[in-house]
Amino acid sequence: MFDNFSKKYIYSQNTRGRKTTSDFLKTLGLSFDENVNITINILDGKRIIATASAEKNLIKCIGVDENYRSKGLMNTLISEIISHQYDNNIYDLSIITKIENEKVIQSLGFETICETENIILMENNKNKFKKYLENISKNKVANEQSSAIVMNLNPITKGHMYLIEKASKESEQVYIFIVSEDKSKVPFETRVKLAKESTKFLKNVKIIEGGDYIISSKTFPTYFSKNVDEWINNYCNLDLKLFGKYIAKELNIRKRYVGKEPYCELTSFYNKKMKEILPLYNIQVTEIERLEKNQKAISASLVRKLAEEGNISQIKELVPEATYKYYISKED
Amino acid sequence: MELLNRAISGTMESSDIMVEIIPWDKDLEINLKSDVKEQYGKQIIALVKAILDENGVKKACINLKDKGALDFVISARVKTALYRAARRSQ
Repeated sequence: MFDNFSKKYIYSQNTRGRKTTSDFLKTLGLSFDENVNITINILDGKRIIATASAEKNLIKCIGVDENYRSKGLMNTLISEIISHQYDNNIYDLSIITKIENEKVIQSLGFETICETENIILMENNKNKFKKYLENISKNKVANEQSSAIVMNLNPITKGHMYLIEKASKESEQVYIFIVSEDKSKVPFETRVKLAKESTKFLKNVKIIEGGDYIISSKTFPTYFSKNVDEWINNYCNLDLKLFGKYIAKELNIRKRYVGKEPYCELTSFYNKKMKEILPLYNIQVTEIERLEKNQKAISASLVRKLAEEGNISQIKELVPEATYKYYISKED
Repeated sequence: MELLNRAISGTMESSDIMVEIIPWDKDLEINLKSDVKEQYGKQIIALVKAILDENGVKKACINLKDKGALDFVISARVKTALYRAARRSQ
């Protein structure tokens, strides 16, 4: 490191530090992702010249001032992030970046897991994805044709049940991948438990924890303020390729069910991409109309809103019994 | 030296090396990534092996990401990682 350069750690409670970082990223056409837990900046005097952040095992929000490129600042930052996360028992890191950065990131010990036309997913433990796929395939029920649904189930509602039951009726076997990220109001373990209880009576339905590679539109990084549409498009491509080319193959998945999305623009775009990309991997996409109650689609967000307002009685007709019981037990 | 946990030391800055030590039940495995692997790979691995021997480490996975570190840097980084893995200060 050069003498006048210094490193600064910024933790989530440091609002001012995060604001300055966000301002710096803006000058590069990027924006700050509020979900990161740690940010490391390099300063020349008092001015930020390079930054990198991480949210658990995902390295994010990397930016280097144009005048300070090719000085190996990226090496410093990634090294710092690795050491910092290591101390917090996070050993394997991932990075999603533009394909142009592949060589640089590769030189820092990362290997390509999946690439699309524009972006690339790289990891510094090449065995992690392999192990993930091995674990997925342990769920396999012997048959030729299976269906899959990727869901947040935050929490499971009668709307979800309608979709699951339809898939169950039309398929030999249904695998439900629950998105693992835990920004949800209902904790992941509870979401899994409620889903398992609610689908117990469907013998050909299996609940699988989505893990790190089932991204879902809700967990896409959102820090690319410039060309948001382009990046969302890129993420959809990456997510769907991971699913179609690798994950689905482990379980002989030939069909993916998805609920029609009347409200969220991002999700409806994702659904559109799904119909475009998954057939390339021999997976048929079936979009199902949402179940309505009083002319409104039943949604988990409505259930969460009612719960927040304390309207537990109104939740009853929107959710399966297990979910209702969960909210009642929470009230006590 | 008994290794208790996985540990890391060093950086991937120019002239440095990042050393990761993962204790395991299998035989010693050393993975080296280096721009100068062709020229100095054997020498680097021999040096690391010698330090591990000295400390009686026989079962571990060692990941090295070298950025052109000199021998004494490599030696210092490996020893630091070992001490961290053994939770010892010297």
